[in-house]
Amino acid sequence: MTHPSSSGERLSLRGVGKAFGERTVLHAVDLEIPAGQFIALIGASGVGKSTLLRIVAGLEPPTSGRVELHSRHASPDIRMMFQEDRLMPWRTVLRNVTLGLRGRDDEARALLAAVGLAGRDNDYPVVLSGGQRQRVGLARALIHEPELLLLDEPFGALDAITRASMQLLLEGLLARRPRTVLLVTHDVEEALVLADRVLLMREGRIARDLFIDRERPRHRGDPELAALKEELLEGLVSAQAAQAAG
Amino acid sequence: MSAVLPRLPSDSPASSKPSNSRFESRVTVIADVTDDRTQRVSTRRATGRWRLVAPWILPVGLIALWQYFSAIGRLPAGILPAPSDVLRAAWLLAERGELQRDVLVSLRRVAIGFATGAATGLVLGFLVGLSSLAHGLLDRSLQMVRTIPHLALVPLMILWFGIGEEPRVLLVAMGSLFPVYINTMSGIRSVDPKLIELGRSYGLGPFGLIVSVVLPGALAPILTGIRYALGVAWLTLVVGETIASRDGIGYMVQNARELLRTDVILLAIVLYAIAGWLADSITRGIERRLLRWHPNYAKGAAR
Repeated sequence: MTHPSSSGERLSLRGVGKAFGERTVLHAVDLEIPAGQFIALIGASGVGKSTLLRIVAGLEPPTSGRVELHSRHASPDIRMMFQEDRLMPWRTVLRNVTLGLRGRDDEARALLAAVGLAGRDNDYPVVLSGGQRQRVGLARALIHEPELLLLDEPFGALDAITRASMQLLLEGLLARRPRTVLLVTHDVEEALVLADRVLLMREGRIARDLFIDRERPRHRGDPELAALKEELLEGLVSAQAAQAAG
Repeated sequence: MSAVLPRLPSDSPASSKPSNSRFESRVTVIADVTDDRTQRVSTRRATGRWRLVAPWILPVGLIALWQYFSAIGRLPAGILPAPSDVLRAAWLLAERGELQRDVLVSLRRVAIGFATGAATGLVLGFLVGLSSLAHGLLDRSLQMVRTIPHLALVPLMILWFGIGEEPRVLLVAMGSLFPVYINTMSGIRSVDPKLIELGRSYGLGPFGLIVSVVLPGALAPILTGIRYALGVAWLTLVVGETIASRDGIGYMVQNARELLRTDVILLAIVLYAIAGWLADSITRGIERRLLRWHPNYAKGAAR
């Protein structure tokens, strides 16, 4: 399934590899992501998911290979959300959203309202809860209208209820304005509920490439998704066992 | 009062009956604010008043005792003159205009010296904190110079500059430089690299990063350094003004010592205390304003 009106940009990775000294984290990853696709990267800790994301974000150079973003714009916007909120504690909520921007307060306020934080403009991050901070982070990413949205376990540190509501929020915002999204997560269920395509990573390689062809909004209790979840979890656990043995 | 107490579940007739001792449990009241709200409000008002009064009880009491013992002659005026004598000395000196002149001269020296030293410390701290090249070149040398007690330079300063204004102001500057430098430098180096990475990936240039991320991130330690430096500045001035000066609070002390005027010596000490306290409260006010986002400085936090 693709989004109704595909937007965002096509991303292609050709032979992208990364090594830290002797240790190879990514083995020549090839990947084509069509515009507007929502990709979830899952895998055990240390299989290279976050490294891959950081390379795509341009935060780290790859050791080999090439990353291409096919965009209509000369300098396409890539925005990333992290597991930590990374809000500037000395800036108000509004000023965090407009970081690096000038005179876009109205837009920022509208986005804050869209993520359910209307009227909190002048609060400092200290007084917000973990979920509220991630909402600010989401608004901060979205105000740039990024062609590519990179999410590095953004809901990983949240409690189950907050996480579910954040997932709904993200899904709703993307339904209104689809973009190419790359989400790294530990949570297989989150991947299955949100993504068009789930990539299972194992030892620096993409081990499974799975298209999720279910109608949205999806239900966690969907038997087909539950079966997929079992299967993927099994793959993850066996990978971890193999890693431990090796 | 007790007649209008709201009824608690445990007040219900059922539980007031003598019950089977096997099921009787002991009640420990952990918190109870069920009754009388007015009482709470008035307690709060009383604590507010108490907080205003409390810090003054000890000093005012001590001064009163001091005055009392002087008045009954147990404290000889040559050793420790009464508070009233100190006040009278202040009045006499003020009438002759000497008090104002000396205080202003001292303030000027501290202001110029501190401004020079703190500004240099800030610039060096930023340079070394931001650039690894500057860090490699300067930090070791600055840290070595820092270990020299700056007051040890007094004789050298006199040799170089004579007994004019320069040695005093320079000494104050040297004293204020290093606390500001150390705190600025380490404050900048300890700004969360994750926030810097975020700023960079959200399109901030080098200047934007410094203004929006590095400076506010290092502000708390910088202000701590400035507060500490202010203290050192006054301390240095006391020493600097005892060497061959013709004006300033230090001169007042020297002069008074020769004339055995203990009341004036005490007055000078009080003046130093007031000046130090004033400088500290001003910087604390600035701190509270600039760091209101900081959990430690948020309103209500005790400082």
